[in-house]
Amino acid sequence: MDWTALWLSVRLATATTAVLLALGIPLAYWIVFSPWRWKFLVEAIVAVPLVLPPTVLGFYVLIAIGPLSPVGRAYTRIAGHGLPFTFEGLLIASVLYSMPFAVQPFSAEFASVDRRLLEASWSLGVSRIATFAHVVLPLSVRGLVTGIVLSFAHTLGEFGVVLMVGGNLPGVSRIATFARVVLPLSVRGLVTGIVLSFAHTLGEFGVVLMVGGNLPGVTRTVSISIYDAVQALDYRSASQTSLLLLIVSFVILASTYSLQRSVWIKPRH
Amino acid sequence: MSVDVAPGSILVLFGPSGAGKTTVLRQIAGLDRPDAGTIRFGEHTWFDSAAGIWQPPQHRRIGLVFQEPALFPHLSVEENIRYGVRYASDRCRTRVGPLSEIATMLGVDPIEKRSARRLSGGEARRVALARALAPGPQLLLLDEPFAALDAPTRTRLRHDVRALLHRLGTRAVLVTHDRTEAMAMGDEMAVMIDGRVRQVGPIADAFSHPSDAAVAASLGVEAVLPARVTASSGGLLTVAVAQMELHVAEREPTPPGTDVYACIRAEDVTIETASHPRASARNHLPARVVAIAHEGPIDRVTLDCGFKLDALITRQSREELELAPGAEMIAAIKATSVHLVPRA
Repeated sequence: MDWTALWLSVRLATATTAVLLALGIPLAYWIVFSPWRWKFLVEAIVAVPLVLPPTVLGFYVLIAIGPLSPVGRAYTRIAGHGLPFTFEGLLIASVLYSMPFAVQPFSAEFASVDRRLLEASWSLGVSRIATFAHVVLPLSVRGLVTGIVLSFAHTLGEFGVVLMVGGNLPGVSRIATFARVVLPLSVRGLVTGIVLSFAHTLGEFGVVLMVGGNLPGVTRTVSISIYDAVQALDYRSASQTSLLLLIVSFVILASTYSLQRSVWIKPRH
Repeated sequence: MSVDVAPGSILVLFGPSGAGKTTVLRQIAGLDRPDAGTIRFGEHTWFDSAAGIWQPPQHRRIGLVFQEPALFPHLSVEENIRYGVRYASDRCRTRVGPLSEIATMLGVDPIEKRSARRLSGGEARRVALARALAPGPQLLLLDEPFAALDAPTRTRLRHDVRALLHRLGTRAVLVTHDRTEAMAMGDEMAVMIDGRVRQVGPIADAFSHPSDAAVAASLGVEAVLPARVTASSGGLLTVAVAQMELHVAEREPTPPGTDVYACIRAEDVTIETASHPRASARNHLPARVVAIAHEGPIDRVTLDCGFKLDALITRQSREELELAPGAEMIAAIKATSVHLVPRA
């Protein structure tokens, strides 16, 4: 078992989830409540990682944060080193790649809050932002938990198994397309959750490898560790790590499922 | 339209479904924005398309109650009622009285700790009203708030709301298509048809003297007379209307002293000459013919019996009775034909 890689994956998943929480809630709020007619473009940009081949996304992120881009040069001036092949670079790629997994459950849940509750709140003299804080957010706990758990789970749980064994990248696109079709129908369902996580985690391998490279403790996440193990014919270590990730993913999804079904169900008028 | 509504009084926005009543209410509330025009309340301008003025709902100091109570399901009854006072950004809001007084008058104080999810329909409406009134709105907007309730609960709530508004001195606009509700709750009435306000005035006037045929059709053709029950005996009520007395069959227990509207349909009024023998009708009122209008084979005879009353008779009857404006006749009305609507 490669504990260093596992610890790195946990750190990456935690950091990604934290960033997505901070960025995703305002973004989802804006997507749901903005009257701007072109906002569907922003929604599409957020959803792009679901359908774009992951190597393409990884490539563009690498270019965007590399030494030739303004962003990469500015970061190098401030931090003293470049973004590619660092934890920060990996975090940027991971956040972009996981964005739809946080933003879509958030916005679906915000949009499902009965509009009359908002109007009742506004008529009582409560501002839009305060209404969001005191009505929309408390009633969206279920969607927030789903978004957080999904973001965390697929950043952490990079199976990569299918990719290693089958090595079939077109398959990723097919699953991702399925996710795009299924997603609008029932983003909160267990099936969708599994499909999204699975499709997504399959792809993350490529992004990680492209941006991060394979440096132990820095960018070598657990999926790459498994990949290396298989390459080195160390199937024992690979299967241990795989099983652990399988169990963790299952427990996380099962918990999400139970949360969705019981405690947070709210009456519809 | 422009209406004067006294403090504590209710303006009824009346009309058939689809007349645009809810749209007007939402525009008053600031939830929808009209294409053009102005909305003013007292000296406040809430909307003026020409001057580019638009006040959001937060700045209008209104209370709003929908047909569905729309309580915050994650909060308790007490938290729902306190919500506006607690979170309103507008610091100049003043409460009209302690919250507990409103809660007590609406009878929700015993359920204050309960979750807003676990309320009956009547309780939820009471909480919604308390929540809307707690921050001391200058105008309460009610969109058919009692429509989904059973009849006894509705009657009690109408009474309690009227009493509370009167006590607080809060003006209200009530949207309804239910004429009984309009009569029970309203002081002034605006009749809306096809998106336009067709008539505005005191409620009895609007019912008794519709401004045109469309308004009359939407209100039902009927005299609506302010009246008061003065006596009750043996299932028969004595009701004072203007200077006259009517005998009315008591369908629901109505104690003497109750203010009511007496509703009389024109087809239930018969006209007799003074020499005509008494029939079974309980009410025989001296009446003078004011006007006669021809409506096909039927004539509408407008009578003055101390109050205005219409009678529908056939042309043959009119000719036999030799009716003409100025003629002194007797208007006969059966006690079972007078319908009373108690004022809530």
